[in-house]
Amino acid sequence: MSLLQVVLYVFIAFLGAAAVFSKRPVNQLFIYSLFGMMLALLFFVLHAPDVALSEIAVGTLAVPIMVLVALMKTGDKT
Amino acid sequence: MNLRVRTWVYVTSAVVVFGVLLYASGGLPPFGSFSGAYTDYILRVATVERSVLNMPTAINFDYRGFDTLGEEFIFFASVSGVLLLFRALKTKAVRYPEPMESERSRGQTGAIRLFPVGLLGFTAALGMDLGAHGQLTPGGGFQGGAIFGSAIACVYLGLGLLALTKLTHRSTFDMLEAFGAFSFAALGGAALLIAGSFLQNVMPLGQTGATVSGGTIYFLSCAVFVEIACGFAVLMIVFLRQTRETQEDEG
Repeated sequence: MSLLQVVLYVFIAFLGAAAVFSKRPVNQLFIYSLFGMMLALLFFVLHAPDVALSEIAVGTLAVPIMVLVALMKTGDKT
Repeated sequence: MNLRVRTWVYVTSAVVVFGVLLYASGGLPPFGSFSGAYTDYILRVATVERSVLNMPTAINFDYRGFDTLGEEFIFFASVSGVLLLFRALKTKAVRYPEPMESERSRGQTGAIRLFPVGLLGFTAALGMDLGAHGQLTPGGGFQGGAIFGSAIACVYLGLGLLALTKLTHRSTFDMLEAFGAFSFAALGGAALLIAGSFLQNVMPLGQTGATVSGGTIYFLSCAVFVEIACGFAVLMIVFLRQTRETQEDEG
């Protein structure tokens, strides 16, 4: 396991926990999208660029936009 | 259950689950080693058999093309479901000025508006590039399509919702999405008629490394690109339109 992989694993574990433990949905969403970005980097480092590209499109763009609009729609201003 | 009982239930189950996980992780193969015979086989034969350089694409659109057909229709069904749900929520269209519109009426333009528009071209080009070279480099119909379709968010960010609704024609995207999904199944069906098995690679493979190569792999990838790109575009349009309707509710 290279140093870069270890750093990414630690980062992902930290961000995953942060997303679970943060109270406000909007914060969770931004942490989640950062989490997705790190996950994409990890996939790339692990020689899976195809998966990384899908993760970038879905995890950092499509899901955050949908959830953001849903939060707006449900009137959750917290 | 009172707090004490709940705490005990949690502690016991946490200890058991963590113990089992720890025990199981001891039996994992060492990091980076993988003993899948299928992987080695595909890596050995795919370039020779199918003139394809990117193995995931060869698996997605040829060796396991049938699985992709299923995934494609899962996506199609999800987009249809979203459209169905939001159709029921349709409210009376009341126009409210958007931040960007008031800015435009004051005759101001800013980097914040121009930057996403510049990104639109870049993102769309990147999506097409990834979609068109799936058999050569990482990427393919799904990845390229998702990035291409998401480029539509740049229109919203830069020019606002009014421009988004004026510049895009949602029902065209709807139809193109269905067309992409249909093309995938139709190409598979055509192979069934010609060669006797569904989704068989019946077209000439072309030269390894050429832009159009890999036989049906290239065309299946294009079909998926059209479907995913238009599906994402429809999702973006439908979801972003909801931001306007929230304002209506509040207004």
